[in-house]
Amino acid sequence: MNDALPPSNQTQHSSDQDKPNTPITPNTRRILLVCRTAPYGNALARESLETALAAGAIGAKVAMLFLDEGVWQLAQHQKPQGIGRKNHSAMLGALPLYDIDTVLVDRDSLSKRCIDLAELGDFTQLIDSLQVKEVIADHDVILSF
Amino acid sequence: MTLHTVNKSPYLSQCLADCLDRVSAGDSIVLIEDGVYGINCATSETLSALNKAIAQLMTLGVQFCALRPDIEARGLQTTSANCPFNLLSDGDFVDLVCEADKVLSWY
Amino acid sequence: MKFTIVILGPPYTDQAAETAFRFAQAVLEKKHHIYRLFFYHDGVHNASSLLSLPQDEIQPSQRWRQLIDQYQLEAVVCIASALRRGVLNETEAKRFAKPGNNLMPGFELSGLGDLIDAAQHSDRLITFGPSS
Repeated sequence: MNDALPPSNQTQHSSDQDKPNTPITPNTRRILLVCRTAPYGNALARESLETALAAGAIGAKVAMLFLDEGVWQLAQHQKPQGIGRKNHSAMLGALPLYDIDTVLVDRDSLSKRCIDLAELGDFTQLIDSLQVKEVIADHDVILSF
Repeated sequence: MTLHTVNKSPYLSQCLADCLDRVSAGDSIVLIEDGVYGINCATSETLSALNKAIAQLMTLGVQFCALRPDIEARGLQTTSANCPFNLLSDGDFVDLVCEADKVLSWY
Repeated sequence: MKFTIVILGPPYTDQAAETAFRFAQAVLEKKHHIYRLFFYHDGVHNASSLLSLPQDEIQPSQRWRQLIDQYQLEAVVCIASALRRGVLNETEAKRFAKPGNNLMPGFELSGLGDLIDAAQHSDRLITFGPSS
């Protein structure tokens, strides 16, 4: 299997046997990417996605958690042509292709910002504030952006 | 146990409030850089909501700390009456990171 | 204990890299190990050999280099972040036909895979985010 590109016609790999051979040792630490930055105003949002895609490309297991200002990344109808930036939601849409199937979104952060739940892509999973704490507690290592 | 770092002033940013919302019992919080402007929250009207949250989290065994070099650099005066935070040297900070399972940085 | 330190803040403008440096020193003084320093986002500017502060001030990239040399540390600068911000080694400068290169010796350009690897293989990872 190609270890640099996502499979073109599949969106889900549930079994670890499907993962490409990588230098990452088995029994690895579970990584959580906490994304708290809005897109466009700052490169951090984009760089958090690039980190996720890099992890996916080498077969490392990562989960993403969108919190606070980070939930703006998930807004639909982004048209950044006028500000000379690449479309962030198009990059987000690539996450399932890279086997990043745990994309968690904090419900409170959305409702505080009046973001319509119906706008979210179907690769995301809404969680409540108690679950946010559990997710933080459950992972071995956290990268925050 | 998760160690949380916060590096923004609570007078400017939601950072500390966002962090406090996600802290679990037994976690530690370390204020660093401009985050240390939060140490006098007990005496600030503006920060009374944060102060309440901090007092409550302390009853759950959450440990509140701040980096001493950052406090001294900024000329902040602390007394045990107005400051519920343990002051840490850089070495103490490293020890606390070792005691924790992981670090979550709020910035 | 093996540490990885992730630095996201630029030198001089921002305190984050300074805090990260002090943390790295304290880690080494406590006889722990540093698995990797990873410079990402605006943190890549810390690896520029062109930083020229007044003589009585700290020279950030020079000081990182001394620490890297003294303890034989691995200091990785994210290549994608670095190229976008004009931090290039000789190979990349040639490849993009640029008039010069400025990556401080001791640092190396590499991919984000090294950040994931560090997350997997360090006992502790700490991120110093931009302070502004």
